[in-house]
Amino acid sequence: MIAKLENVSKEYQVGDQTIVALEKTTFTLNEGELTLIIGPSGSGKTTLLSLIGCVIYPSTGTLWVDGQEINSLSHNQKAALRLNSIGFVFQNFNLLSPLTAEDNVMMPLLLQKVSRSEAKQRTQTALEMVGMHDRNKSLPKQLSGGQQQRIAIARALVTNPKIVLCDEPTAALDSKSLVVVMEELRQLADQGKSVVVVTHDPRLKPYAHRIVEVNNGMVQEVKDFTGH
Amino acid sequence: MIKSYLLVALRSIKRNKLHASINIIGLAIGMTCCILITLFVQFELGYDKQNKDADRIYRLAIDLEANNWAISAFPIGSLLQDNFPEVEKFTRIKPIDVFVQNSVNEVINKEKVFYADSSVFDVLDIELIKGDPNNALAEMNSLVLTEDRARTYFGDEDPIGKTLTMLNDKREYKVTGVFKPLPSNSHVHINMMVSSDNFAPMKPGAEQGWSYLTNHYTYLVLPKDIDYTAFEKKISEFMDKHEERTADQPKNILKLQPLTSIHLHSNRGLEVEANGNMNTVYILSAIAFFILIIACINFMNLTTAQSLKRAREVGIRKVVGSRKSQLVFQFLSESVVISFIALILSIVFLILIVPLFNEVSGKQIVINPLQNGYVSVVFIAITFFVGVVAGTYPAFFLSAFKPTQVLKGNFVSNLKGQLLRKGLVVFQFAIAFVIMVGTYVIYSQLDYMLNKNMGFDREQTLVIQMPRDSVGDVALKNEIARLTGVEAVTRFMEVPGKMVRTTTIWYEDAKDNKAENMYIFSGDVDLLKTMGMKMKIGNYFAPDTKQFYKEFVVNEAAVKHFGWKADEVVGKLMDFGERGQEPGKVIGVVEDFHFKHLHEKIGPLVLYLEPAYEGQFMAVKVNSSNMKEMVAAVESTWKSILPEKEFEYQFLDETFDKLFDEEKRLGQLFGVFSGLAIFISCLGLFGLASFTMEQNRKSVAVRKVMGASVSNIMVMMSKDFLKLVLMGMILAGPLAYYAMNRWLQKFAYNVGFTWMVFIYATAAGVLVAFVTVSYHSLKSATSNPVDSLKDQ
Repeated sequence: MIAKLENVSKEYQVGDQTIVALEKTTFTLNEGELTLIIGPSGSGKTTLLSLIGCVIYPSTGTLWVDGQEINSLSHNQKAALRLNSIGFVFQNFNLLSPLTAEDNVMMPLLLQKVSRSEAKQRTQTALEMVGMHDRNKSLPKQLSGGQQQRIAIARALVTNPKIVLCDEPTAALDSKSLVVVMEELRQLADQGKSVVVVTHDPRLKPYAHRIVEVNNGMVQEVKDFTGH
Repeated sequence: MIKSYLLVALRSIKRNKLHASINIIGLAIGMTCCILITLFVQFELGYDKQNKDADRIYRLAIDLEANNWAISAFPIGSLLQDNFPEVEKFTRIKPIDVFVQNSVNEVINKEKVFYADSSVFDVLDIELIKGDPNNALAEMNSLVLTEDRARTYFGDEDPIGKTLTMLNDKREYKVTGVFKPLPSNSHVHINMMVSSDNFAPMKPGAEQGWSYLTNHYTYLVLPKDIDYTAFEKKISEFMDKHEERTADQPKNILKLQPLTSIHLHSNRGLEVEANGNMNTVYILSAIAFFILIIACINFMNLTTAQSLKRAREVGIRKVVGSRKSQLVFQFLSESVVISFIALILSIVFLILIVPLFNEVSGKQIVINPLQNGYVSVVFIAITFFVGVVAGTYPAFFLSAFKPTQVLKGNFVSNLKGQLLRKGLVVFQFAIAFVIMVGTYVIYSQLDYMLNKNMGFDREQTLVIQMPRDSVGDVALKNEIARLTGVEAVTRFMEVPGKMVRTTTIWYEDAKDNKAENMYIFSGDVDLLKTMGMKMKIGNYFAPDTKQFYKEFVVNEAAVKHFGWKADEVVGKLMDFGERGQEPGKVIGVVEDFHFKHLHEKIGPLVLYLEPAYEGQFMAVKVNSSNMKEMVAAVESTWKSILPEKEFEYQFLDETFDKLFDEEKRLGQLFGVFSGLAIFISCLGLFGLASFTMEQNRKSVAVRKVMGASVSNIMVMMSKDFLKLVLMGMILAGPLAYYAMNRWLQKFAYNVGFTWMVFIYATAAGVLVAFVTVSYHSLKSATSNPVDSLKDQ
């Protein structure tokens, strides 16, 4: 088990109103699994992903990530947890446009204060893993959507995180790129990482070990394909 | 169309409340400073211009070896009028401080009363409300006064024909006229005048008229456009001939000062009132201008920074047929509208701060357009200046967008624009830095002067003004010396720190054996003990000396000036005027002390002993924790010996502090303007930071999600701004050094320029800028990155 949510809920206060983004939820994430979180827009999928990614914090309940109970961590400790244990991949890639592919991938390593020469080496390895090492000097705008997403995956992997969280990673891709990206993510899971993919695209189901359905803030169904 | 532009302008303000508020507040503060200082400059430059003959009136002044003076001899006006047809008219005034009493209702006040010729109404445009200007001061014992003073002494009664008594000579004066006071921006302020015939040296043919040089002022009316420098040479040569001066005698140097230049350009000894300073006018004008520019830069930066928001509107307008010139006009209209709104806010600020400004600056600035027509012109001019200066660049910048790009969404903020914005921020902080360094240097210099060792002790010293007929001054001195808590008492001619008395002195080894004009001072035998002065060589005057005017003590600067050797000083010969048959001798050398303002170097000084100190000063050195009680005891002693005389006292340290009023005012004004310059700069930085944070939301969110800590994000977001601030300060360093070093040079004794000031100012500037930017960077660093990433 790499992460555990126990009666975790998330509420937002908007004026006098309390909006429940996620009802009390309990479930775990394991290494070597690709977990698909599916549900319609506004259902709470991203909230769940953000909670696991420690970018927002539970209103109730307890959340453990990589053995640490996050409510007890300071801002800086949570930032360190994200930096060392979690990698993120986004729907719109979120590559920084003024930086080259290499610089984008290298960024988390520089935050870890890894020396520049080592960072460069590790970046090259990550780019090779996603088959983009020959485009390391390209700017994001010079790459296709699929290529940009692979760079984003390389950036998520470069710190060798235990969890890779992906928010709609294929929404902006064509079918061909979708296959490439999902196969890469599945491979990562097979290599022992816990990969979480938020989507509303049913075409991704075949790549999942587990499927979690979220509707109206409620985790309604958990399907476990482990071993299938 | 204009209506449409105004509507768009107002809607744009409504849509961008934060940036519009920053623009308006910044511009309003900048405009307030600028309007205020423009009116201040108008006030300063307007001194004495109310006189109809302002450009024809000149004050006659003299230059002597020891100093240049604002005064002239009593009979000189008449002599020049008799010999030079150019002198159409002249008048003389001579102020004295005196107690004036209405014997009927016992109202008594200390007044500055001017002995004046009856021609004063002719020359100085003093308007009589009651009385006849031709004879109001023509007869002896006649007196004219302002309405305000008339009310003080006579209430609502008609003062004409009533009498007032001047307690110096107990003479009764009959009120023959009431006049309107001179405007506040006059180099002299007169509330009460009596006939010059009542002052013996001013009478025609008075014997002592030529030799009695005191604070007396002569004004001449000369033809328009006269070459007055040539004329002053002519009258100086005339005076040499008139006095039959030989070639080896010093020449007369008479100076003619145009009336309207006295306030800002005259800094002579015995000025009738403390004057202003042209440098202050220049410095404040520059500050006002730069503060306004800082505010305009905010406007330019924030407007161009928001170009993305306006790009679509520009594209649509161009597509439907707007010409570039129309768009330029539209954006300029917007900036003028914002400038106008800022003016309204600025007027509110002005109403609130002008009274305070008048108090600090000692001026009477009027902001009511009905009382000062110039105000409306300043309002309109500054509003349009700001609107156009601040709006021109953004107008051309925004109107240059290409519709094909912006409507396709391909528009990106251009690099040139970013560079310019950065350059302007650098410029803003460079200006703010110079003003900050200026403030620090002025305060350091002020502190240095206020605490400098003057060569005498000014703490716990009471200075009493003696009456002119104080026959009992020795008795008074002895009685005060007996009081518990009194350590020593001395009588002296002038208060150290503001001495003005000079005379010609002959000394042994003098060049060509000729006497020189130099400063003189007399303090009785207890001077050193009371004032904490020290002898360097020889002795001070002994208590039992009878050698008045025949024994001298000189200061160290005099020994150096005379070229005497230290071991030969005692016994050197010296005399008043040219060498007489029985010259006196030097008996000692006193350590240098600052007998003049700290602006001037210590020069040669000759001390002698007076038989009496009537009309001069008495200093009482006390050692008491209860000064109030001490003053009461001294006053009680005074009353017992001089019951009919008014008791007037001051503390020497306070008197001394007053000498630095100009520096204090300048320091206060600098402090305020420096604060405002920083505030407006930071306001701009705040706006620009909010824009930059908005632009960098994605970058921040990505980094945050990747694991960057709050401090990582804050450093990343702040460092670019701090670099600009730092760059501005580094670039401004040499300018600040040059400007303030030059300012310090005008002081004979200055604190010196320390490089630490740069460290302090830089640290303060960077800190303030960091705090300003931190609000946004912290907000950005702690916001939910997921929202930012989804919005992109």
